[in-house]
Amino acid sequence: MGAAGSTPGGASAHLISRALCIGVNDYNGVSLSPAPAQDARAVAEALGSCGWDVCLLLQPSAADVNRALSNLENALQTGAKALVFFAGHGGVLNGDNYFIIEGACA
Amino acid sequence: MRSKALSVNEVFAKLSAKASMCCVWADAAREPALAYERSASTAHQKGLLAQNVPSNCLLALSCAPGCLAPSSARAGGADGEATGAFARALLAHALQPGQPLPAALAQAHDQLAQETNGRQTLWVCNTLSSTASAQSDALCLVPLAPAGDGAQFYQSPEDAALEAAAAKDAMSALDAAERAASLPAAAALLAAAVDGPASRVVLPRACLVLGRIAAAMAATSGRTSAEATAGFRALVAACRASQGTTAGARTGALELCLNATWAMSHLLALGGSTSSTRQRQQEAAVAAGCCESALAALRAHGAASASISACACRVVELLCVDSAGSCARVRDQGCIELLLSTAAHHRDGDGPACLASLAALAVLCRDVECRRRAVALGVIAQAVGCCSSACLCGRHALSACEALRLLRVLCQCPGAARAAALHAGALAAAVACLTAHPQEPQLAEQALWVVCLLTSQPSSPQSGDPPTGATATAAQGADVAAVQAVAAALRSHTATAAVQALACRAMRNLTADSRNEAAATQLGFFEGLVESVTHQRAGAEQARSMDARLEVAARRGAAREGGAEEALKAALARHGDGAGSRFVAAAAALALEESSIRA
Repeated sequence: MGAAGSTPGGASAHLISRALCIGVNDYNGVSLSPAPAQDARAVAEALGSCGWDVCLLLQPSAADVNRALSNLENALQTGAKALVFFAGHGGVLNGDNYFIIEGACA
Repeated sequence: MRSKALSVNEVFAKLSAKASMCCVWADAAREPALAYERSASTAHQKGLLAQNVPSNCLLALSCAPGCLAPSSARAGGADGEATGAFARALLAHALQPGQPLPAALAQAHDQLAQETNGRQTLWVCNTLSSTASAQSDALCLVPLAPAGDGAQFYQSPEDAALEAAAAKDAMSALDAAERAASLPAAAALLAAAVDGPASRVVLPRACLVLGRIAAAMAATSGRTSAEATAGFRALVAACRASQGTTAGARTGALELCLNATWAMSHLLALGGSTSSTRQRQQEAAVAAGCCESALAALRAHGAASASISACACRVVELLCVDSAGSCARVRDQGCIELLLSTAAHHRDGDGPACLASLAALAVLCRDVECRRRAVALGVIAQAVGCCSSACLCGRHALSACEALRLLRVLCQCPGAARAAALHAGALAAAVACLTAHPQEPQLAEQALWVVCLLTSQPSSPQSGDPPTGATATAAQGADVAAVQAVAAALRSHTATAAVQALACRAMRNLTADSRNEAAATQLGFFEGLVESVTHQRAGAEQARSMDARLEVAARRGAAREGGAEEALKAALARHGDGAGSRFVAAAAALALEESSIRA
């Protein structure tokens, strides 16, 4: 057992809670109103002020999201807390729920 | 669509393996606007689907499955809020310090329904409550934090002004003490704050400053107990203040208790690793009443706060390392019962309270009376249970490692504990941990220790001597799974000398049973060993590992293989002069002798 942490958050201080907040406003020119990015930013700021390590992605590409998720997976310590917030469009494909990151309007 | 979208299941799959709590909040149910969205969904499908999530996970959807969020709800409330109703409801409840997430989401559900006149229903799939206590910080996004518990405290404006003025001066003095890294100054300010007019505000801060200074000192040079004595006294007084009965004392009690126990653990750690300095620090702390304060903190707040539990357990651990007097003192005050209760309460997961309580129990169990009481109270079953849960879920390697360390202490000591551990399934638990967590070297080391100790001569468990004759019964109790797990550990941790040595010792014990030996041969364990010996560049520090390897290799006559023979000759040349290990030389000579006889 190591030292009891460097802050009185206690020994849990070495376990950093991490979050990924994603907001997608615009799908190839079609904007959602009000902006989901506002929600993503608000959640990111609130978590950040509570000591969470937050990655905020606004209008990202699918590659950005995959990279950020991999980074989150790699950085996450065993036993830490993780949260993903998504505001934008969702859909269902072959019985699975998806968050849509990029897309063209009909 | 897949290439431009993120699967919710993929998020859980990636994060839930490590996270003690993995949450996904989705505000993604809107009218389909995209071409592939329309084509992908069935004609009657709207919104997202209800779905299950892995254990320790939570999925919150902004509206019920198959439904869409009404646009007015997205547009915000009457005041034209920038954020949507879902995010507002979450932020209003889920980030309250100490608020368990399931309860927070129930409140968010009600707020959302109210704001949208029932048109939007927050939907949750939650597997958190099955593995974490409802009272634990493990369920909170924000653990109990400093300033969250003062709602019921009333102060007149005049008193508030007086307090603010007094606090201002004290805070400035504390800042100066911290800048100067002066432990005596911080201790004096803390002591003065206990009865001061602004104690409610200043005390938690003073504890924090004292703890920070101690932590910084430990990182540099360390100091003597003389400087710490006043600090211990002041911290004990602060702990007592946190258990006061006035409204002012109750307000912020958790924060004060947490900061005081945290600072106490850092002040104790100043004793360092030298036995004499540590002992002086322990004596100063015990004389000041730290034992009683830590146990009182555990009793008062152990169930409510994992952080306080962790700090108090750490204080107990530091007080009792190599100190029979402290062990007896805390034992007589019900410490074993408290630690077992803390370990049980915060059991699931790799949380700080679980780890700290197991570590403290391991220290206490080195004392014979403490061990006797702990065994009578069920410590073995608790440690075995902790290992079993870590194996079942395939996670929580840290708590399994601490539980195995505790079992190791119990098995190392002569007496009934070892037999009780064997009877309680500790051997099977250690093997299961090895199998479930193959990539954790520290866990492998502790698990192999337990295997070694439980399959060795009962009369000399500390040496881990192999069983012989009638005493081979322990080895017979281990099945092929143990042989497989030990062989796998040897293969997986080639860079860790301790694991290599222990794996060889464990296999040496296990193969006292002919069935296990046959299994090891079938698994190619001995060939792997020869390979390992061949590539070993053994120095004196690795001689211990070499001992066991060469001994096993010699018994199997594995030196017949050409490469191994060369390696053994080299080992003999290196260690034959007694500069390294005489055991290495003896084992190498034996192996070569066997090799020549067989050839």
